[in-house]
Amino acid sequence: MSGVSKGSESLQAAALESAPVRGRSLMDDARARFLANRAASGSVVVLVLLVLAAVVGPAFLPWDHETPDWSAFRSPPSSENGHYFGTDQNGRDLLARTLHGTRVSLAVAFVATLVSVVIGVLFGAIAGYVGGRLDGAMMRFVDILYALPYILFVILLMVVFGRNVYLLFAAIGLLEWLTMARIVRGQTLSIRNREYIEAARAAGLGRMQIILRHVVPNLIGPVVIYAALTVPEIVATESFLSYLGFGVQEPLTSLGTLIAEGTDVIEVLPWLLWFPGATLVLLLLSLLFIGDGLRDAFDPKEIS
Amino acid sequence: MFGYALRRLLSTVPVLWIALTACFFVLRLAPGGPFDGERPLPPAVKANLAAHYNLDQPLVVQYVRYIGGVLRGDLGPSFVNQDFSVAEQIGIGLPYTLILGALAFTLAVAVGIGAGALGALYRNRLGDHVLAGVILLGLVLPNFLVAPILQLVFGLQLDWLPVGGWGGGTITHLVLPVTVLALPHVARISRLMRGAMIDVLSSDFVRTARAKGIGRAAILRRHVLKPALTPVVSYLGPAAGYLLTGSLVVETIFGLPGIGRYFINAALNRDYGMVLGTVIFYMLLIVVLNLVVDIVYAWLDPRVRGR
Repeated sequence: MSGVSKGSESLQAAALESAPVRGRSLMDDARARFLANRAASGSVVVLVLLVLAAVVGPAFLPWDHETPDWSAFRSPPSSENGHYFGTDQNGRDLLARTLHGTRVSLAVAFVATLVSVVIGVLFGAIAGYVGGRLDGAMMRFVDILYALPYILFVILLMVVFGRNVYLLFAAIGLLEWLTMARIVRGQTLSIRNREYIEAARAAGLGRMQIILRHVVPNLIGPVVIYAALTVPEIVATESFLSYLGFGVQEPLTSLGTLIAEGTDVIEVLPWLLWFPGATLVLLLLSLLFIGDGLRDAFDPKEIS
Repeated sequence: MFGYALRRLLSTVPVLWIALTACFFVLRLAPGGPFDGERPLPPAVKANLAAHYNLDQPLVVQYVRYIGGVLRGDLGPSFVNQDFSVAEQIGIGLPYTLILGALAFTLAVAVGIGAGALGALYRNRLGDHVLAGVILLGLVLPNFLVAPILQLVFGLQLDWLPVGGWGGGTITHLVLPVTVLALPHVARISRLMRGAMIDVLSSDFVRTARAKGIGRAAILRRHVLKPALTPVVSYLGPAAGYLLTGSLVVETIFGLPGIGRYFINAALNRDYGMVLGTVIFYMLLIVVLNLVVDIVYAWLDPRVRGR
């Protein structure tokens, strides 16, 4: 163009030559904070190793979790006979059983978290977006459920409908959505008056459409953080139920079931308690650190 | 204050009623009845049993009868331990569960508040870091893992304490179960107390009090303690519920004859009457405990009374 002066051309050239300044997005900041948190980033490594071991580990073991090794009953941990975690009274390899149990516990945690997230997000978003009397009634309902001994209802359900793993998934998910609903409602209240929601309303979208397409996607941050904090609670709840005999049943096994079996023989076959117990603690610790780390990374105000 | 308590009490009635109704009908959805044992009973005997327990009546009639019974304090018969009614079995187990729960509650509150306050006062010092470690352990270690470890160490290896049993309620028999039951709550309470106290200590009114020249002890007693306690008190309601569910495990592991063990056995033996009765009783207990906590809370923080 003819009107461009020489000065601006050189400025343009200088701008082109200098290395582009990369902006720092919210995600970059959060990632940096998360990585700087040694407990949290170390926990990610531990968790990935645990998940890998639980998912692909069994394929590399010569034993599975239910077939007895007739030559090694009650074997203590040893590298000679290949039972690195030892065997139980029925000659089943404890390493295979622990990995299997970890896999079941993780699967329950994953599905139950999903159930609790779906219910909690929909409930909270609807209450927060619609507001008014419906909001009051829905949140009062949550308050009420908070006060009830929920785990007893889960036990009641397991008694009535038999010990079904899928029911267990759903029942634990139904147990843990309350806090999620509260958090989501609070967030929804703060975004319901934003301009883009107003624009969507002006464009003639229906309530449910606005909630699902415009409110829920903007809740992702807090939802992910709180879901991460929910996972360890769900793992603990599942172990608790399985320990009492209301959760995962033979031939499946879970960490809680294994711990219950180990407790009975703690004096004679102590390794049956130590290995599953240590695995559960390791799993819970790493999940807890990751959840805390995510919260601190995305919400620096929370750091005390 | 009395009006507040009354309003809170009345608002729990519909909750209890809904929960009771839901439990009743869920139990009736169960495939099979309580008398479908492994050895099938002759039809005539079964019909007689059903008539005895009113199971042959229409569901609505059974429901009305059951509610009527509950209102009179009659939780119905136990289907497995047929010599005892549900209320009798709960009555037998209740003292043990209450003693265990009350001791654990007291321990958790006393140690939790004390440790949390010290952690806040000596922030970032060695003691505070030790406390943080203990809190973490308390939060992560499940009680069904802590209990056998303590049994192994203190009961079997050191032989200081009995491994289980009530033993007439002597202190030595109670130390381990109470500790296991209280541990997670010690952790939660001290974490809440520490956080709240740090907040209060850095607030303006504490600075003002210090500027006026009030002594450290007097500031803590008169200005810091009450506001720092409010989050702890609001946790105590849910804590009462957690203590009850925790006592399920603790009573089972230590072989204590409380309601928790009755409940677990009833659930494992599919004693529907007993399970339903225990759940209702637990709910009632928790609602009452929550009410007490709310009243204490309203006393500590006058702002909630208006709501």
